[in-house]
Amino acid sequence: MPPENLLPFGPFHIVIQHLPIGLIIGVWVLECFVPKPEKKCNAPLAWMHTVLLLATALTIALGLIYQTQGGYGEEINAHRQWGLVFGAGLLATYLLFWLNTAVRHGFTHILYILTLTLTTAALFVSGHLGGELIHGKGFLLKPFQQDADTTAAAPVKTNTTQSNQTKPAPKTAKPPKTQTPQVMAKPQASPESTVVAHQNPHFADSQPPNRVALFHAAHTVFERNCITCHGSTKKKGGYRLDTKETLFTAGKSKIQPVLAGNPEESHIILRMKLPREHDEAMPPIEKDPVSATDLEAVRAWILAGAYWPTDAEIRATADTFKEYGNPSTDKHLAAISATGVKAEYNAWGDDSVRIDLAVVHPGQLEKAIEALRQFGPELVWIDSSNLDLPDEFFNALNRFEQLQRLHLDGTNVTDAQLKQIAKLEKLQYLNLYNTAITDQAIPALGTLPSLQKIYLGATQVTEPAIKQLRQANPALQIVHRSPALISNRSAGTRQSRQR
Amino acid sequence: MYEELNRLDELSRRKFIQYTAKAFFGVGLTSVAGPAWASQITPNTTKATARNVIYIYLNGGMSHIDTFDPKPDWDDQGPVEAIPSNVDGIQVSSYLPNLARRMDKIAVIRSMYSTQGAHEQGTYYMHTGYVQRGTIQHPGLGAWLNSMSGKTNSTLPGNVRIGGSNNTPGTNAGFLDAKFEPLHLAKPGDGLPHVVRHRSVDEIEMRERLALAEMMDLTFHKQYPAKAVRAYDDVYTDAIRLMNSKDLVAFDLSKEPQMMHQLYGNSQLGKGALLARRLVEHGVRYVELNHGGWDTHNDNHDSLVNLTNPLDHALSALLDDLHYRGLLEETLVVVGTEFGRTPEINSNYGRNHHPNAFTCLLAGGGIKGGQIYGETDYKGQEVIDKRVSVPDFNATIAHALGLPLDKVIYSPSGRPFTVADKGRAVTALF
Repeated sequence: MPPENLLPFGPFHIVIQHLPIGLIIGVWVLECFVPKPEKKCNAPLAWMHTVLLLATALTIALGLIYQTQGGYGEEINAHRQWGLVFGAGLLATYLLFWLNTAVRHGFTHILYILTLTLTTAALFVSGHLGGELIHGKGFLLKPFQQDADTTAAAPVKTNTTQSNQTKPAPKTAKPPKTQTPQVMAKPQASPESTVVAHQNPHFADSQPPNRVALFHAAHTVFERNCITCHGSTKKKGGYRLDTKETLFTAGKSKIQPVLAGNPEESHIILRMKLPREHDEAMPPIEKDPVSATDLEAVRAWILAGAYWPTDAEIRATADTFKEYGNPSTDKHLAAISATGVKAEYNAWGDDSVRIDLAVVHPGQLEKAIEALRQFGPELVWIDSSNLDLPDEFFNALNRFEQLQRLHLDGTNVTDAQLKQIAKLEKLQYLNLYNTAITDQAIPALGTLPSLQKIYLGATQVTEPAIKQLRQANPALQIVHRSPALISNRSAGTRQSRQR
Repeated sequence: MYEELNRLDELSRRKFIQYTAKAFFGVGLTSVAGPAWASQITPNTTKATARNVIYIYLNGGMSHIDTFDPKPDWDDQGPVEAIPSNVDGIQVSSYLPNLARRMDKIAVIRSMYSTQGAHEQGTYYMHTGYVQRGTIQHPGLGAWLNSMSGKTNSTLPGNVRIGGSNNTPGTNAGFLDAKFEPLHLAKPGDGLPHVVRHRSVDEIEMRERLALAEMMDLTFHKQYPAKAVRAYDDVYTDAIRLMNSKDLVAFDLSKEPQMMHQLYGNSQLGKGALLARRLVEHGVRYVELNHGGWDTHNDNHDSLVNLTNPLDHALSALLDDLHYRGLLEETLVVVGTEFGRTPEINSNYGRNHHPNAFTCLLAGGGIKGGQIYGETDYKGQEVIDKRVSVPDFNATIAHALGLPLDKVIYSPSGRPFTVADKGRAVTALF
């Protein structure tokens, strides 16, 4: 154990170690490429050798101080041994240098150069091992391997310079879509589990991606709760959960954190299950606890063998955001967007489309309606509020048999036009707020089979007609009044305070 | 030569190595995750119905136990009572009689907690979901929304803030493009200033001036084709578009009938709420209303009488109006604040900052109203059930809007960020 007061200097090892590396290269260059002076002693070289020796001694000393603090564990041994070999070799080189200067014999020269070469090789080995400690195993070659398997793997997106503009961008590589857009039924609330499923599009897939999905579920938990302390920057207690190697490596307490296939005895699980107040409970009490669902995710992953996917597998799943849409719809969206209309895919997990006619540029409405006609069953939501709509719009509506939501509020819609939409079998939401429709339209509205919600505020529709509509469709939610004025609460509001 | 230099200015170390590798070894490190997220939105398992957000931000820290989380049995509850609401089992304070009759539309999250106990940091955290750092500016939710799913009205700004200060921490576009910056209106009643041409400048003159400016910019733009330069240009273009927009009337409250003014009331918050409703109707997707003064260190209960009055009135009016117009289904109304206030009353009859437990509200936009989520202990000191962190809260808003929560976006400096920083949506609220 090094003396306590030297400990803070340990990390300087990482800085100082660059000196020997640079100097030994300098010695090489001077030895090999700079013509020797006639003088007996080569002064610059001698100086460099001396400084090199001192710097190396310092580096090794700092390294020995730092090795215990760094929290690296077993893998530091090889680095230390090669570092010592380098130190010994350098000492030999130094002595041989002076011997050679004194004797100037061919044999000593060869011996000197040979030792210098071997010492440099030892430095490379030691330096590389040290680099792996800091940057992770295989850090040098990783970029090249990545490159090799990205090109081999499925077509991954390469458009990195795309601007942050929104859709619709041309989609180049995309699996062909065969089925027509299926419109989703009601949103079903599936609490908690949705988030996990959401983050793992392959959860339900067959065997191999499933292992990856389990990994992702568990790893998300690690990222949220563990890796800030047990990762590449902090490594508390000598444990890291961010790489495959360290996951099974014991830290200071000499217990392997994860036993593949055996969650009940894996310490990572045991620690998370401890009561919050327990000294060894993880995460510590001042941090957020791990929820039961999260714990289950980690458990399931360990039970299935704690599989850590390869980089290629991780990348393959990381970017599998489902892309919406199909080329023909994309084209129609672009066409109608040119008139100022906002048209886009819904964030509903299908190819359904929403069109907001209300924001059309002035004078472009007819063009927009013309473009609207190009759409088919994918159109489920039209917002045409506060517009003066021509007859063509209502004639066009019947094509959209999957239409679920229709905003006609503030438009000039008439009773006769409203009768035309009675054929929209999937219509769930109809907004007629602030229109001139009267009781005449009500019978037609009563026949809409899927209608769930209708807004009839600020219209000419009377109470008896509302009653009639309610009878025709008892499940229908009717919002037909206007907001009533809000009374200010009684001015005094009670005596305040005085305790 | 210029081009070479320009390319250098944004060169990171990683890129440098990448270029070097390309040059010397003939290999390229194909970018694993570039900013190519723009055209895709993650499929949501529940479908997103919220399209717009009206966020009422209560600046200063709302006292949770005097408003939506009353503790009638607690000694220091003070001179305020708990009253029943129109939902069985939900009580609110007597400061909120109108909202009490509308609790069936509201989901109350009583289990919020924050890690930040100071106003600036807390406000930043609430708006961005990230803890404030010196090295990066995180975008606010409005900027996230507009960058990820685009604005609806192409001529109006997609992100508007009403009231409060222009540089409230965490509300701006952060590292995202400047065009996602919110438009800030100091007072809702004044309309949008500086959108009318000066009377000496007619339309032709205006066009000529713009052409001249463009001409002068041209060489510069060519020489420095950087993102920051383009962002300036975008802002100018958007401003001109706004000046010519037919939807400028959206900012003009005098176009509303008298009855609507009466409904929303005369307070700044009421006017702001009315303006927010107008803007949402015209396709503005994110409107934040700032209602200040909630930092009740002194005379907590007296101040709260004056503070809750406009909140109770304006929020009730907003919920009603949106409901009758059929807008509430697709408009998420959020009431947020940076932290709660201590259960104990201090020597100035006030309450101090209390980030360990506070209350926020969500309504509309697919949220199931009439529910309480989470619970605090007998005096509102600590959360005892279903803790909701600030990132979780932001994630819930993003989830309602259908934004991809796990999509990594890289800042210009190459650091990875997600909307709401790994927060998890509280799906039980939908």
